[in-house]
Amino acid sequence: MTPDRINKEGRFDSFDNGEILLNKKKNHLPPMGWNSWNAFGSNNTEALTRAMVDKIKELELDKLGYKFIVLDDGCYKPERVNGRLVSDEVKFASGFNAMSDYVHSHGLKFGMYNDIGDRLCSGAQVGTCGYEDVDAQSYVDWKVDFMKVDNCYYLWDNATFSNPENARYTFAPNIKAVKIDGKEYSAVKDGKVTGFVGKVEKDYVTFLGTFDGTGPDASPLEVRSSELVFEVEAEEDKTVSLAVEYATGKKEGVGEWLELAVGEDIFFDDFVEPTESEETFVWSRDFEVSLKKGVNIIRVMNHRRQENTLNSYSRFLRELNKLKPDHDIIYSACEWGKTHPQNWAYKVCDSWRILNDITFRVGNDGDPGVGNWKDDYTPSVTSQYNKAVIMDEFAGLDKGWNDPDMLMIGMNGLNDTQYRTHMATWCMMNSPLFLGLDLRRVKKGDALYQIIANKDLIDLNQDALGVQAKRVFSSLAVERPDKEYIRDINRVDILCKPLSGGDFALCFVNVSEEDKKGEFSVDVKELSKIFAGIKSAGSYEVKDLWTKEVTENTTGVFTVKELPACASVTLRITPKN
Amino acid sequence: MTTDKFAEYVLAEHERLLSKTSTDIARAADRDYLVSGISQADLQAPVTRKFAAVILHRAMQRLTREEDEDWGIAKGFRDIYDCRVCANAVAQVAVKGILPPETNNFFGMTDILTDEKVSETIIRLYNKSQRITKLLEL
Repeated sequence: MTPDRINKEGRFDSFDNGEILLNKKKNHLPPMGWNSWNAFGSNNTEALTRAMVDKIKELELDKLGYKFIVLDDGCYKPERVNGRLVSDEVKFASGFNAMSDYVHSHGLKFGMYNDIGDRLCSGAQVGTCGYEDVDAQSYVDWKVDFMKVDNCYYLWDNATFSNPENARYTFAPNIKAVKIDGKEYSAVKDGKVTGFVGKVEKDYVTFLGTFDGTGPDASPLEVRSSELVFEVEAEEDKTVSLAVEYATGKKEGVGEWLELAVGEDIFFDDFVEPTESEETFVWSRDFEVSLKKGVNIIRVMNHRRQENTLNSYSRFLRELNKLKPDHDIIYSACEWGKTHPQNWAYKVCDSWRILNDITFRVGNDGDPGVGNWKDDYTPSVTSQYNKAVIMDEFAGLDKGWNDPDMLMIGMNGLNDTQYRTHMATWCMMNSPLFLGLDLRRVKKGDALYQIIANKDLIDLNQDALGVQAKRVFSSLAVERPDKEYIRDINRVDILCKPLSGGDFALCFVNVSEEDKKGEFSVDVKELSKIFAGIKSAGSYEVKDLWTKEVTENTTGVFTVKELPACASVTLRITPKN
Repeated sequence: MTTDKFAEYVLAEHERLLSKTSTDIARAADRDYLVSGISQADLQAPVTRKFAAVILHRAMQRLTREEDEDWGIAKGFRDIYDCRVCANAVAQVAVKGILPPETNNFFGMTDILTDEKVSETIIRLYNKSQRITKLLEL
């Protein structure tokens, strides 16, 4: 197998054109429900899932919007049977149809999990790659309403459990020079490296590809891929020869797949002949290319890391469309931010994970698992929050939602204050809200219930306007609190979320693990410069969404004094004449 | 040793070292738990350190009822997050000194667990006094 040919609509150059592909239906609010992973890991069972359905009904969480019951990894028999997916014989002995019927009979929606690779992350050999048509039929048969699709064992990238040498698909070779119409141009002296990841090494350019965004190292806002470009002036329209001096490798940074373009016209997109080593340079064959009179931009690149992944998520959707053209399955991309899905996933998906997992210590029956408030890598509330909080430009009803992963409310390792801030910030950021706890531990009215069933907060998440909050203040921001990627948690943030009907919400967040003294304020006059829908008024009704206290404000300046460690205050503000 | 045989060995040693006896039905249920979700192809392949960790951790959950610990040194393994489904199992067997990392900062997920190491590892699973406590000196 080799990667598919890519149409223009799936190309890097089309990522920001706003076009939705394959008639993917939009205008969905963030999905809400329960997912088995954080609660039970690979050990979820039919009995446990039925118990969660029963508890959702008993607690009336469905009335608050928690509708989707999603079976995550670990529910399939680890091999296909006659080419088809089947349920694990022990854990889901009654089969997925019975499970789906049980969920639907309670007025809830049924979700399942798979992977764009050839295996699931658990290792089960049932990934959709190459089986998209067969699997789409199974999911239609099982009346699935939601699909979460992972990225392990992916064939066209060095994803988790993939062959590390798959990087050869996603990086261009090292480039020393190009020869155009007989004239040689040095990559280092005459070329320009665009973007973030490419760099000069000795007398060549390397890392021509896309930065791996699985970890928390880089801001999501800048272009995370690089090209090597040459400006070539032509006195007239003409056809010339072009060759590239390159050396190949099979690792992150240097690959074997090359894309060549003049402007947006891609004239080569394939493997090149491998070389003896990453520093043994050879000349490619000559390509015929057309130059226009004037300045031509010659692009040497590889955007396949993003393009292949978009294509793989599209393949499954295309098969679903064939079987059920009017389907409205919610499609959740779980590629962990590796390929910067905020750039492309809106075309075919409803949400996209932004990082690797929020916890790697998931629970089991009788064990709630462990979550963290902070971590140097991705498994913590703040690791996910720090990135998601500046990603509002990518979210919306016409696009979809940034997904900072499932909720850890109820897990060990976090206290009630941290749970409350976790819930408040996920609601403000229009994140999908998937509970990840054993709901048998929750009683109506208890502390956990008060957090997960805070209707006022859920109303923010599900507000019809569908706007992710913007960070309008951060005590550590230098100039642009809405754009700066700040990983130091010793700070206070203020988020603002416009709501339908002219209301807006403010969330004051002490991200740090230390109490913060002093006052933190925001003036509606400043907010109205940022948000067209927020207007100054004579007075404002202010509701604290945790204490439920309602007060009147006549100044338009909203202030919170002293925030304990990890605490937050969330206010809903209604302007009055 | 195959992954399947490794799981069998874990169960057999549980009975032998802890003088336990199980009914055939209980034993089959225990075995299903230890190898749940592992494909036939992987069960018949030589046991990797990753699958060994998963089976050992499941044995701790089901057979010895041993609680998880904080990750400690395991957070520094550069390959720990290569395995979202087995990261915790790897961390637990490492920090508990049952199956130590190959170097201070590398567990070695996909390397094969040799037969010699299998015996030592399973002894350490059931006998805490045999566990390696000074991981940093490895």
